[in-house]
Amino acid sequence: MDPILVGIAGLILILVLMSQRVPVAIAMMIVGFVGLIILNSWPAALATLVTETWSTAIFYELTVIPFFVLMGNVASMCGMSRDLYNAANAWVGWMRGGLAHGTVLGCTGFAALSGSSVASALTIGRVALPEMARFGYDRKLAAGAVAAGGTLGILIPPSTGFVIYAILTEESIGRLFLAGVLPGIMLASMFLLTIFIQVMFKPSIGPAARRYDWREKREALGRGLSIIFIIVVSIGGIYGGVFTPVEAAAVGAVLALFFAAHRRMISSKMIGTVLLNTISTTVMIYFIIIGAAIFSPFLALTQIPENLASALNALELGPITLLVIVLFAFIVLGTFLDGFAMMVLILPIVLPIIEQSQVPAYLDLRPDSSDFKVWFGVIMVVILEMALISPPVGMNVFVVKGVARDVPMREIYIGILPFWLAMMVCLAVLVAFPQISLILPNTMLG
Amino acid sequence: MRFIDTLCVGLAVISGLVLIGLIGLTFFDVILRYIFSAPIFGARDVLEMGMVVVLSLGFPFTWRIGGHIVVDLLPDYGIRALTTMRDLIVRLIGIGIFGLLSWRAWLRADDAELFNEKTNMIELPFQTFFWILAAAALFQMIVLVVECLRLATGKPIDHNIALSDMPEDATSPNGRGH
Repeated sequence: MDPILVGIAGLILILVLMSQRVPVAIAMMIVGFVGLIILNSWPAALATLVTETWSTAIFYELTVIPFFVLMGNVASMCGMSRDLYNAANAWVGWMRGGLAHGTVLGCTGFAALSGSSVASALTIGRVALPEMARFGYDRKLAAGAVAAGGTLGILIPPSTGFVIYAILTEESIGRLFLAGVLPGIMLASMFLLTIFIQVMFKPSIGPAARRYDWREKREALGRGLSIIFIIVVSIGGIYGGVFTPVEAAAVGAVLALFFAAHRRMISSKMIGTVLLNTISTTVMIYFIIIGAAIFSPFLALTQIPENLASALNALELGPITLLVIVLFAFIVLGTFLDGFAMMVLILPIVLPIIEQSQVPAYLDLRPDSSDFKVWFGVIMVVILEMALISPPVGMNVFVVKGVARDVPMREIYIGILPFWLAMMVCLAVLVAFPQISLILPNTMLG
Repeated sequence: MRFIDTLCVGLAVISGLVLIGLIGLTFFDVILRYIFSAPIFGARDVLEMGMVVVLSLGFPFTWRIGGHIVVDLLPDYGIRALTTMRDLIVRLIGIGIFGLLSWRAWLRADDAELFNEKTNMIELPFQTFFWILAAAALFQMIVLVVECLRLATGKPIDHNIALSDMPEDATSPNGRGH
């Protein structure tokens, strides 16, 4: 049977299964399994099923996921996100649009504790949205700031998006984490600029909140110090080469538990909640990776990536045209596919195409180099962020809607639009200047 | 179903406690390495095998709370019979996959014993952990069979277990999605 036809049938079947609400991981497992039976053999498919499940489970580097997830869960359960927001608020809340600026800064800080955008949007949103409503902020600006600010969770390390990308591309998690720092700060700055410009043209949408005196500012900052300490020790430990990412995650989780105990927030209920949340998130992410690991050998046998790459090369598209087409396709797919699902499904097809094209040479990167994969990883994660706030399935939009139930979805989407455009600008800058992503990993890890 | 749910939550809590143990082990390994230049021998072996336990004990619970990523590409049918049929097919696919996984993991455990497969440092036998994986996949299959029976008899399937009586923060999709 023609492998390409089988491959196309497999891709269609995956879409059909997903449309029927089969979990993405199970859909990939079943299609990969059946595809392997057709293109290889029944024993090979059975061996792949158990071997890939086992290999993923015992993959040492992947343990960074449950450790960081637990750290983020503890931090959000014991009010650290509130402290971060309050600290940011105390320093910038007095400006016009200051509470929205504070929201983005709080999200940026929380992103360094949590690898999850949804968690960032939820925990900061619960504090920030009522506060902005209290001071008469425009609902669209408030919703946009929370939804967009929350997306920083998967760009600023630790990031589950980077971990999954690293596993799919056999790239270093540490290098990817470092690569996300400057783009994360740049994107956060762009969000601040977006708020500033909106408030400049229409001051009534972001009235000034109360001004804190120096003592209050110091106290608010002091309460946020525990979070800063955890970030400096765990994430700073990776940058300084003191810890591997797995060790850093374990140290961060223990520190978060220590500070939770210090605040007398530890109870059996809190621990139970944290554990169950952490386990369900961990299993969900591991299963996506297991699904991808079973689907990938099937995809390789279909030869679809190679043939697609050859066909696109034959078209002799310029590197920029090809890149724009690929990124546009990702952005469109991201509007209706979950970001993780999109990454594990499409990346194995698209990465070889980009590697074999003129794009790496155009960007002055070797196609087989770590630099290229790291740079593309950052681009992928920014697109995942855009997917998180794009209609109709942007998770962060639903999170904001969940917190601010009285705000219509239409207003939330209108509020998000300026931030979405800022992300587009950020994406263009990161494509034009790959060194923004690469300078930290190259200088600190070589 | 209540008994199954209690079992799922119990296994997930044990899974979480194992995870806490693994975090503690890694933390003390780092501390002992830096302060006493004496890392814990075989810590990595325990971590790797421990994650098999964490995952195995955690996946029935994750299924029961609807914790896996599902894409809402199309709106719901709006016709109960069709929705039930779809939900049944989803579970039958799951029964197939987890049944095969359980069967093969069980056979693989025998291979692991035959070929004396162990971890590198402290020689933890793979066989035990393949058994755990096989048993967990079997239990997941039983969960799916029970759900199928409920669907076939017209009873609803409630995914809102365990977390429903917890603080608001806990019911958040914390980390879920991204």
